[in-house]
Amino acid sequence: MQMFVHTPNGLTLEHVADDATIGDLAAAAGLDDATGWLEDADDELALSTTVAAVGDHGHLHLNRCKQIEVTIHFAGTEKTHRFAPGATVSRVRRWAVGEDGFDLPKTQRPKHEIGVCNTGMIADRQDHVGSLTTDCKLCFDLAPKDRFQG
Amino acid sequence: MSAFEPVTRPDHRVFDAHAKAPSFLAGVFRGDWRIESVNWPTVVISIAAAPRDGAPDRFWLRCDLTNYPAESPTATPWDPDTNAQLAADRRPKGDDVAMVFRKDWEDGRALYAAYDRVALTSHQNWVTEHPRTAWDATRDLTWWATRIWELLNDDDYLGI
Repeated sequence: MQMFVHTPNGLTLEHVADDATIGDLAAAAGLDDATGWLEDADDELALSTTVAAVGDHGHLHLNRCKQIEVTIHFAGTEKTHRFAPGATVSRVRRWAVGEDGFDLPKTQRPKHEIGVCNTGMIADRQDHVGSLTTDCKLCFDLAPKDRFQG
Repeated sequence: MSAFEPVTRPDHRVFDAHAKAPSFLAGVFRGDWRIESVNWPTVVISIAAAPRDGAPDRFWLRCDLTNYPAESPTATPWDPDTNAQLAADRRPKGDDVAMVFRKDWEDGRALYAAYDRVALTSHQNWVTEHPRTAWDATRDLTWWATRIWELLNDDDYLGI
């Protein structure tokens, strides 16, 4: 089968044997002491778990960090929350604009996006937070989306 | 044709590489986007849209990728049934998405966004005003498709 493997080094598409384990993939990625997560899942995968749990063209995250501490800046304030490394930026954004985050009015929520602090870059919603940092911490800005005029 | 001419142009080779990148393929397998046809430099790409009553499940874009990635794609919203530009009443509606897919600028032949070559050429101020979304040579096909996918999958998108 084929599998998308997300690590702090980025994203690869791997051909894996059907009976391979998460531990096998971690070793192949040079991350022997890493843990595995399904995309947007909070619970770790045991290293003995076979790749069938991920599925063909599924997404697996491998990381030495057990959690990513995400700090989001908005309108002069900041909030911090810990996510599993396989959490997508989309999930972080839903938290940030939602009731547990900055609780933006519902009409304003789609008009804001997540950017990586001090880079001027939009964080793509399908990226995993664990792929955007090497020290288990991440800084985002929540900012209005660009509106093209004139 | 000279025996020494390349089979594909440099821009086409880069496009091929970017279309085979894991990040782009991830979107293909999620159903977010799909390359419908390539007749270089014309590429037709369809982008999935969130379900809305009476609206299609994806929108098609007929793109010109000349000089990609040094220059941004330019995309004409396209109707695959009529093989012509998408009519105004079939274009996505919503505060932000309708502005990008507007029909009242350049007769709707390009996206009104800093990541469309035609629009950026006539709005050079966007390079400094919109650095997060203005095209530059470091961007790629995945980045570009993601911008449009987000427009069509946010709550702002209301259907057609």
